[in-house]
Amino acid sequence: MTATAEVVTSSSETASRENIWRSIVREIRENHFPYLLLIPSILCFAALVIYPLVNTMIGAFSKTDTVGRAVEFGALINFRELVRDRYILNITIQTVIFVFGSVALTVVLSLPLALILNQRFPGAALARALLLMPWAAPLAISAMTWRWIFHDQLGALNYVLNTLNITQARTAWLSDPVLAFICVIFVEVWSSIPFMTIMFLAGLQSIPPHIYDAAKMDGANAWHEFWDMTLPQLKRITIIVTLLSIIWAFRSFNVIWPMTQGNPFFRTDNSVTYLYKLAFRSLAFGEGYALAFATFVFLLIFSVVYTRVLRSEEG
Amino acid sequence: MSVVVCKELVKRFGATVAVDHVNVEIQDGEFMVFVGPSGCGKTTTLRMIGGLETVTSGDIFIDGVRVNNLAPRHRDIAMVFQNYALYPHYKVFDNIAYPLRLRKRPKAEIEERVNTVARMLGVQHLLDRWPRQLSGGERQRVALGRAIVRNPKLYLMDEPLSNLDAKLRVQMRREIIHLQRNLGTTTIYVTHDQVEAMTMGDRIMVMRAGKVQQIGAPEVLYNHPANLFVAQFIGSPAMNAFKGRLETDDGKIVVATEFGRFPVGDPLVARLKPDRSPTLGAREVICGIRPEDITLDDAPVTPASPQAQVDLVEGLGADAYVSLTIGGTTLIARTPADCPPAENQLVTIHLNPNKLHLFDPITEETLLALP
Repeated sequence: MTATAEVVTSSSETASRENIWRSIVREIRENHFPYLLLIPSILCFAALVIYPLVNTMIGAFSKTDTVGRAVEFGALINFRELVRDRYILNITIQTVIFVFGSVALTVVLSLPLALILNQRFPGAALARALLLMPWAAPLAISAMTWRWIFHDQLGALNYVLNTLNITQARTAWLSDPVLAFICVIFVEVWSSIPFMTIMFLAGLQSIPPHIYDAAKMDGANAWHEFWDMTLPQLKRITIIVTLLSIIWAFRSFNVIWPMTQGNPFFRTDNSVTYLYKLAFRSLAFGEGYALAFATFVFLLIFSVVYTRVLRSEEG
Repeated sequence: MSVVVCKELVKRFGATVAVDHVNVEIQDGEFMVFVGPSGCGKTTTLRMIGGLETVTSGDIFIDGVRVNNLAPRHRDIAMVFQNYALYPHYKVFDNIAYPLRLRKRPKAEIEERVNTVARMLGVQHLLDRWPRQLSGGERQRVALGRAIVRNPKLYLMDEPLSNLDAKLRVQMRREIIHLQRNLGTTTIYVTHDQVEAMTMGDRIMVMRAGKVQQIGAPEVLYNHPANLFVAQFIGSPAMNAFKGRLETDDGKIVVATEFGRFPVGDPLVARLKPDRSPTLGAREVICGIRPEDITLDDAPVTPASPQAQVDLVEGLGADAYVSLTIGGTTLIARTPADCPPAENQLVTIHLNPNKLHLFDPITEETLLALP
């Protein structure tokens, strides 16, 4: 590492005289073995990340044909069409509510769960294993199962509600726009809780236990210990898991698509299911590319600002 | 300012007895040191006094009030921990201010008291730093500051110097002694280092396997250890010990060993406990002698002054530790460093007859009454 750093430093000093390419070639020639080891990773990254990203970017700024190929680069027509789309405003609002609503609910439910699982009690190990179950099942399968649970005629939910005499109505959970939206958020939260709880649990277990002893001696009660010690100590992990969850929720497809396909009337669509519909149902590939690219740019800016703002408070 | 009393204090962790019927009374303003090897129960006893461990049985009284079931925050005790236990997410100022904030003191008062304490401990220039930016010594000062800022009635210190380097430890040791004398607050200090115990404590409680071995002033523990464990734990190098038999030679009591017959001084004979009197016949004992009570010269050999071979000489500047082999027994003598014997040299050894220690070979208790 040090040798590489020195080479990098010296090459930057001579960059004014040398061609930048020649210095890169020299750097690779001098440290060829580490670079050789990097090649498989770089190739995978290029094939799976860079290529689709560049392709999306080109597609977003091009006129496309009916199979999604860019035919004329340099056009803003896709973005113009997207802005004119009659559903796009609703889709954007729904996406934001879906993302921030589900992540906030997941945080609010996962933290107490992690606090409980962090205690020593009989069966704690079993409880932790059970917690992971929603995560272990493939999400698309789980979402299909939930669709059946919410089915108005055959679903388990209505059966239980009817049997317990809570209501005799056969509620159409996934046909009512508001109920359907709540249902997809519910399943998104249900599927996200294991990961976030495990991350919080890891965070809790990495808090040095002696600070609680010190706080007790300083006069803290249980609430002070939680508020003054646990929460600040969980800040870093919270920043990371909420950021990841927000990004994942923005890209959520596996919950909404098997459950509702965005129905009724686009009222449970988010940007990803909608761009899928644009591209593969309406064959408006250009608009799909544009929406994907806009989401990517938004998430990139959001991630940078979010981490900067929260980290800056730590000094 | 407070008096702490532990009565028949017991702590069990499952089948393990960590603290076994400890009885101790710590006086108002006293600096009491709990000392013993790792796992002897000293820290557990301290944590029970602080309220961080529950009491299995027995009682703890602070100023006459039984505190067994009182939460730590209601005991008005401050504690300094071995690993400092600073709050990593608070700056130094907030670390010291935290106990005052919990007590909802006015902002101006908090500021003033934190600044006063910071000045007292020489950390006023660090108030705006994070704990991770401090050295070990600075962290320890901040931890002390957090303890003294609210003026509690009792300080508990759990090996606060053991993470510091040797030089800093000596310096901080002095600072803590000065601080305690100035504040006059009752302090209980836990350490495994007998040098710290001897230099800091008004009194010392020596523990082993959960049991109290002896409680007393440092010089009492050093000169009149209650048993062989205390004798060998207190003092460095440790007291020499070898097997012998109390016998009578021409009306004088001697310790007969396989390498010599050492007379027991009259003051010691007077202190031999009555029921342990050797007059009824020969009695097996363990004889102890501190390294500084052995003198070496080249005088003629007698049964009371046998010859030993020098194995190793460790110079320490002011004096030297001389390892000697005599009849299969190894002894350590402490001599002035200006004229130590040479290695492999044969020397005559003299044991100070008034400084012998005699212990029962089975119970290892002392056979000598306190003077």
